[in-house]
Amino acid sequence: MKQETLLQVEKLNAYFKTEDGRVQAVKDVSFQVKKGELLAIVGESGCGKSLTSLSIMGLTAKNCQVEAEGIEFQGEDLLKVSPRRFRQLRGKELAMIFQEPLTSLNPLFTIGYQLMETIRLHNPVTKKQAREMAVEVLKKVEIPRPERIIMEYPNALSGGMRQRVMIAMALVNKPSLLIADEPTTALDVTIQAQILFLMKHLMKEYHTSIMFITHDLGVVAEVADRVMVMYAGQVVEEANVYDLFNKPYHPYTKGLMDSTIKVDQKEGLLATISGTVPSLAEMPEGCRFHPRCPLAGEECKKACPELREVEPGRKVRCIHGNTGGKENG
Amino acid sequence: MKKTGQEKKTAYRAPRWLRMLWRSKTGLLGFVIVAVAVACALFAPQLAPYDPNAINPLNMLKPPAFMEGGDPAFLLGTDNLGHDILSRLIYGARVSMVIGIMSVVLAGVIGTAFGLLAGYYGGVLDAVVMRITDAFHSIPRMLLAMVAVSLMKAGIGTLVLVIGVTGWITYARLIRSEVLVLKEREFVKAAITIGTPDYIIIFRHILPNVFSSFIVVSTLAVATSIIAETSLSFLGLGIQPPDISWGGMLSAGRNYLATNWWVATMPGVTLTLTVLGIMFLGNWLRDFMDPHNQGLE
Amino acid sequence: MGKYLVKRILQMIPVMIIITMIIFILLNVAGDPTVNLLPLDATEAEREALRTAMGLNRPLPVQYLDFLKKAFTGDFGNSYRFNQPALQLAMARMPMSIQLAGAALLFAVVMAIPLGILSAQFANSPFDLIISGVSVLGRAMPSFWVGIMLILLLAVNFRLFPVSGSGTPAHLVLPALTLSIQNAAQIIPLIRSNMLSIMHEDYIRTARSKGLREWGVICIHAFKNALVPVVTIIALEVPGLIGGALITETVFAWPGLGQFLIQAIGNRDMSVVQVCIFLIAVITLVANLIADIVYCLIDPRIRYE
Repeated sequence: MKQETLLQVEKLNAYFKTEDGRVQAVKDVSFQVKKGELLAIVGESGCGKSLTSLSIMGLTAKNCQVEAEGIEFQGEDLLKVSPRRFRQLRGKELAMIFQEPLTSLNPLFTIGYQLMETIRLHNPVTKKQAREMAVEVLKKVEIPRPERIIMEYPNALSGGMRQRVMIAMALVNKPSLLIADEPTTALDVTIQAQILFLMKHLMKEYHTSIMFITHDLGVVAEVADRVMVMYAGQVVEEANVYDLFNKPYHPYTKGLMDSTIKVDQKEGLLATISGTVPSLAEMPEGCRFHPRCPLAGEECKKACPELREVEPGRKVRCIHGNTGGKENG
Repeated sequence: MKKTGQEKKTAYRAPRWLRMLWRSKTGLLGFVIVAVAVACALFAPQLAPYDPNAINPLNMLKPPAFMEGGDPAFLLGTDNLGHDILSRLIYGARVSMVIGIMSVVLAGVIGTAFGLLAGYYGGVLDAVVMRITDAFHSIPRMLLAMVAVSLMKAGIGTLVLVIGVTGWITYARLIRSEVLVLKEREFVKAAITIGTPDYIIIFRHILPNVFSSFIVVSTLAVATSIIAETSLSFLGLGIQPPDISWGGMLSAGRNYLATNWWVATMPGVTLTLTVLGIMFLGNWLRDFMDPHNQGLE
Repeated sequence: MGKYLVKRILQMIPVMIIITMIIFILLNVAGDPTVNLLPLDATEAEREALRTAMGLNRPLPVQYLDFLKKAFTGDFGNSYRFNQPALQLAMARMPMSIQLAGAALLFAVVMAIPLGILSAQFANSPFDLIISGVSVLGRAMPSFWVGIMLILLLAVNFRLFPVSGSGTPAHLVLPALTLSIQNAAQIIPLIRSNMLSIMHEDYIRTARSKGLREWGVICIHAFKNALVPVVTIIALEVPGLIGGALITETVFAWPGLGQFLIQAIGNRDMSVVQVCIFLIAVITLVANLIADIVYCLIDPRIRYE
């Protein structure tokens, strides 16, 4: 199955300027998103996954610096396009939904205003047409009585409903790429499943690719086509979803999976990964995972391993290569 | 050599507030201005070069010493009666500081008492006190003060009384809200549970804890009180001659704006600087007393 | 919202009653009104006769109820100086004061909003430092001193505006500017700090992700949120504004309520003084009510509470 590439990110680096100088939060991250696929980016909080997505959208904070060999989106390098062109892409071709539905909508504007604003920014339509489009897209995200909801303010809606509005706002202009930053984390489990199902469904209808950022492997198993695991600002493993869950190669991926409750779990104790994610200013020498890694040897402390393609479409950043999972299993 | 240097360092270390003050530019400026104003108030007779009320027809409307035609003997010039402006400013500081501080003490005592009672006992008492503060808030303070002053015998005592009594609501509201928060704290709840008498809870547990906000608000309130006093004196309702107020000086200087600008400008600048200094000091105190700031230096 | 407003208006009733008490106490406890009404050489018997005639020998609560009853019907007695109903006289001066206060509020808001937004947008730049410094200075200067400086600069030195008086729009500029400077100095830092914290909100990121240009994000999404606390502060500042107006009107000889009141105080025309305090208190209460309504209109969150 050969798919066209939609987004190609080459060696993305992101830094924060702090009082003690510059710290690197994302290091040499390269990946691609193909047309029609859902790429999940997984990692603990602070691993740089959100920053990666914000860098692509050009929405990083003022004290953040982004460099890359290229962020090529539909043949244009997003780092080189004019601000005007970037604005045209943002909201039209590139859309984003965020983790906190409760705070991501402006509390002082009606749902209708906020939707119609997105529509009218990118489409030459009248107010009336925009209103019809808004109602239409709210129906698509299965919001009941959309004609009434567009007159309401965000506070009248529940978290799940607000996230549906956010999805509607992101999809209304039929973007090619939707970046979803932990879109279900703040929601109840039942609502979570509904939203995931909805996104998966709309993705097909709108022919949209999704970059799905999450820390929850359960969610990944449910929706992803391909998975990229990040740790401490680096990509540590990349694989399609079946291979990854069958045979995780990187010890970190393995650790993440063991710390997720499974239905057939026999032992009473849930495994955890010892230690915490290192802070940006105090990155360990060598492999960034070695202080927490059960397999770490002397050589792991010396040099950071390269991200190697061990099988077609499968990359891992570990000198134990594709044995990492087996030895520990 | 090195050793003695170190010993010296450990032997004397400036207190924390002084080290923090030194580090804050505006705080230090405020402190210096307030210190000068207080010194002027305390030692006016020693500091003033002339008798502030000495009329000197020969030296009427002399420009300040730095201007053309100025006389170095009258540093900031003279007014229409030949009064030395600098001397009058120094004596004016006395009136302003006395009224500013005394009225704030009065307002603080009344307001704290009402705020404590309203916050601690709640219920009807609280509702009544709050409606009274609402009512006082709806009448501009200047208006009340103007009417009250005009009905009484003009003088420093009257001004302290009037400015103090019209300034209590700030304290009542502040202290009440602090008490409401404190009442929910564990140590107060514990004291209530074991049956500690109310007055002990209020004096031992609550009052010490509202002290820092009280000091911060009081500092800023001195600035407001000084403005109130000078405003009243400007309108001719406050300090009466021979007592000297910056407000009165400004009012007198108004008539000479076009020809002798310094007569009105000198007291105006002095007043602004003083208020600015108090505000800076107050803002610094707020940062200094902020418990989140304790670790920082 | 309707329920909230009803509650709000009901709360005003006890406040109004307390205000009448304050006025009553102020005028009856603070001094003997007959002192100013009779010649200095009046005998004690004459004074006593006048007191009885004015009802001043009755118990205070009875006097108060009588005062309250009359106040309710708008009867505050006649001005002894003009020999006309005090309420009528004061009402005639009101439009001028409202004109001045309104213009001042407008100036303040028109000045403060763009300056506050720009200060936040260019935080810690020289521009921001200058604006912050000027607003600190603005808060430190009493209104009468600001007025005098403006006269010195704009009327005496540059002859741009008349020194005092009323009649033309040019006459309005200096007093309104004087009054507005202190207000603007309060509002600017508030808008600045609000804008600074709002620009980190999630919905600002959402607005940017839609492809809205930065000034659109600031002026539409951030600004409306920054405005909410400003409305509250403006309402809180209304008594201060009116208090400042009293003095400013005197400085510029502006024939409004304030000047009228100060003359009345000088003449011991107590009916007029009473009416003026009462009217100003009512204006303040109404202004606060309006601010609450505006607040409700801007921020839908209040309506759901």
